[in-house]
Amino acid sequence: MKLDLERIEVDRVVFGQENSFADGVLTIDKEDLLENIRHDHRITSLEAEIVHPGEKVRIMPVKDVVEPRIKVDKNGMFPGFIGKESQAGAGKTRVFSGTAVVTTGNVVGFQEGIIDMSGPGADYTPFSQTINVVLTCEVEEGTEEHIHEEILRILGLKAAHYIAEIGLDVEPDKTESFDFKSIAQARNENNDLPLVGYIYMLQSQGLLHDTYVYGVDAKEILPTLISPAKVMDGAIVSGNCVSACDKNSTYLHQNNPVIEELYQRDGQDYNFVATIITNENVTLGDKERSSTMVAEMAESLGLDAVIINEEGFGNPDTDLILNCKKLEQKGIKTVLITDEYAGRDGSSQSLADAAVEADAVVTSGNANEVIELPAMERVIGHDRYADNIAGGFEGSLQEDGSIRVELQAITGSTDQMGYTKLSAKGY
Amino acid sequence: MAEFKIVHYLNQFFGQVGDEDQADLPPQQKKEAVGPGVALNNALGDRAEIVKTIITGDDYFNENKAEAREKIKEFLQEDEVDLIVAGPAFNAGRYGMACGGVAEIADELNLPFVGGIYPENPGYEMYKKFGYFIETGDSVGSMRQGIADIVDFINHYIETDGKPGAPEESGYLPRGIRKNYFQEERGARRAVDMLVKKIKGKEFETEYPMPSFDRVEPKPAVENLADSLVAVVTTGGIVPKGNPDKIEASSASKFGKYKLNGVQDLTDEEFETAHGGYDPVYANQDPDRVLPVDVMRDLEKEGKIGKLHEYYYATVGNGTSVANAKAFGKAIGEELARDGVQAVILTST
Amino acid sequence: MEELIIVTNNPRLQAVENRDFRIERMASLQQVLQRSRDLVHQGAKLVSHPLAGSLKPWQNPYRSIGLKSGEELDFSSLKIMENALEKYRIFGRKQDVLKRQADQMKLAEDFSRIDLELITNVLPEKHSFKKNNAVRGEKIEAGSGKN
Repeated sequence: MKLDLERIEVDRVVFGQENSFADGVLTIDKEDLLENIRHDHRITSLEAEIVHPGEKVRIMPVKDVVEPRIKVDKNGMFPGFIGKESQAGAGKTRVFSGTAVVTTGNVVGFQEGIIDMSGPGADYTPFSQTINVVLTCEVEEGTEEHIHEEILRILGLKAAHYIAEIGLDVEPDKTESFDFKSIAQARNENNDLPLVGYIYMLQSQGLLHDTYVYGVDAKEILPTLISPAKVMDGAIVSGNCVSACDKNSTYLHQNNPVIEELYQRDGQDYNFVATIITNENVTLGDKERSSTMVAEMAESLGLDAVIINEEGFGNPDTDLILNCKKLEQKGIKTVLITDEYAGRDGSSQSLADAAVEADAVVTSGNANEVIELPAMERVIGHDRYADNIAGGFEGSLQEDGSIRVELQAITGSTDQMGYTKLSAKGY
Repeated sequence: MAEFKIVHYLNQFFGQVGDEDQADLPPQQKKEAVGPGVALNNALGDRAEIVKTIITGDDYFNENKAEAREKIKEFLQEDEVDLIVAGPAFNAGRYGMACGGVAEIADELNLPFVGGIYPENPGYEMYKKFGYFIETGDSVGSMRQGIADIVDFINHYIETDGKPGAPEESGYLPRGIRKNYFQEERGARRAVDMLVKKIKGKEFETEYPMPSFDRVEPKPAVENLADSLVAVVTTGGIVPKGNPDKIEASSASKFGKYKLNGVQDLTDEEFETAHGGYDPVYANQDPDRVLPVDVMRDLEKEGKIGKLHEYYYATVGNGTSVANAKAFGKAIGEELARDGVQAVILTST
Repeated sequence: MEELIIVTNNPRLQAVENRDFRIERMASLQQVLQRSRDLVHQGAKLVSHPLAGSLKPWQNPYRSIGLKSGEELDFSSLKIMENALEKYRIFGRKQDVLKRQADQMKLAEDFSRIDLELITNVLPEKHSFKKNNAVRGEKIEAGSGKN
């Protein structure tokens, strides 16, 4: 399965009279953008703003982040939402690198997600480094939460797709080619190398904890194989609203770092042959079934070792540990990626579950650690939410506009796919 | 006078007040270095100085926690202090718990704490997050080395301006505290590196060691309980009134073996609990609540069990070191096996 | 016969009466956890996980836990319950603050809503407050983007 990612490097994004790209400057016709993405009659107001890295701007509460991508033949990006189901994961994909669409909006009162474009908070979120087109959207009062979430989710995808389309006439700066091999191919080429897979866990517990695969709610899926190239073409879309630090924004799915890093050493140290998606449901029966199927699938594929990452915290720890145990018991070696909830002082047990088999763990940091975020010149969204967002606590909004929050409140700060460099160690 | 001021905490013994007879000594203070503090002070030279020594009896500290803490807090707030040093407590259970308690007080007062302790002393496990504990041997024989290591650490602490760094590099025992930092490579890259090492059977280091498990495989179920000799054993401290073996209220150094011949019910006239650390009123009112001899007698009559063993064993679980607990368990188990006991019911508080 | 038991302090489940499952109503999150633990000791098996999802367990003051009655102690249920209680002991101390805060910010509706959503996963399909009816509502309109 071969995919070309054709990247256009963007230095600056501005609003202008018409859509264009020249000399690193992406110009967007704001009115046309808003008109084209306003997809539902329940949207009462819709605004777009552009922020660049280093600006004294705080964005909150963030709903999702999406990278502008489009198939060169226009068909197939975000399958199940925008693209045709059969087109994703092959051919050419055009990307505006260094940019992102950020959706904000208040689906529930305690929603969360802070992106600081400068200051100490900027070190913790990957999206302080992207040029963000921020969408602020309000919906009719009384709009049910599921609908509100869905409206925002689709809004982000449409905006990312719309913007990427401007790049169709542009000569890309560089092309990265991914050629994901089948097991048979890998055996033919490098028969002596071990077979490696990726167990890709998706948050799927219901309202505000949802992830979509090809437009299908991941809660309803059984563990299955997916082409990593399809993941890059937006086959996995975030419907998550909660736990900003370790929910995987759609952007992170599109740029899944585990897939990228596994691909780097493919054919040298191992053959990377399988990406298995699985869910994190509420009932223990579902957890047992999914983890058993993951282990059996890995076994029947003949995998020797896997990387597993979870999404979220709390009962998903149980899914992570079940997956790890059942795989290790079949002799399949595992490395886990997780973040920690060790309390503000870092002295509590980090995970809600544990196993001796989990002897190789990469941590993306303690999400309870407290950080002070100074006031910003401009806030997109509203400060009022700082006290409510997860990780915020009573009195966290200071009079001078600064806030004291746990890292939990910062979008992507302890991402469990290992996108960032944050980690933790014992003292 | 050195600029860096230290207050030193000692128990009655190392504070040179007296032996076990002074274990009930309430907190006292002396405006000088005492006992091990003298050696400590000399080794610190001009850099730092012990300006005060607080001395408390081990039993007093552990049995009058609120009062002891209040008083010690008061002493500590009287003058400017840069650091609190306690012990070394070696493997002395009550002393270790007291040093740990002082670490907690220091934490409340936002003062740094350095203690000397043997790693298996429960005072370390319980209070490690409140301060820096320096490893010593298990007995007073390791005093000289212990003091030297504490002095090294204090010097390091002063040099690094109170930011001594990771435990293994800086010579203190791990505090069990997770702290964030940025690595060179992103998490996904580190995961792949770890995976390759694991596949190749090379050494790798997990970034999050799972909590350690001390698992005991359960024995198969007792087949015929109705014909079995059953014993009761407790860590809930139920002893004959007066605590004839003087089992300690915390950090027990021994267990007791007591007759149950003819005893149908544990009454408050004949039994009590020696266990500290929880409100003993209900256990003392009716000791069967901790060690259910009355119910065992019922089961005996109903024929559900064969017979209740003629002795029961008791110790106190409160702060008792793992090493001691293991030794007690082994000794009790051997005796029970020798006496032909087939099943044991264990109770705690 | 196996019986489905929902232990809850969620006000949205206060008025629910039916023959398919039994509701045990509690006054606090702590009571919900402890009652569920007690039921496990009495032979019940956990159906739903006692920790909330990515919403941190100590953040949502409402919790509903599903259990199936039974005869034998299920050790894995017990282990999960004890781990949840341990997490509550560490993080639950803020409960009263959070509850007050939730009241102030009128978040109670949202929190109880999330909990209801999670617990409906364990209920029999036909229940009227399952998402298909009360929750789902109108379908999103077909989009008309640029392409």
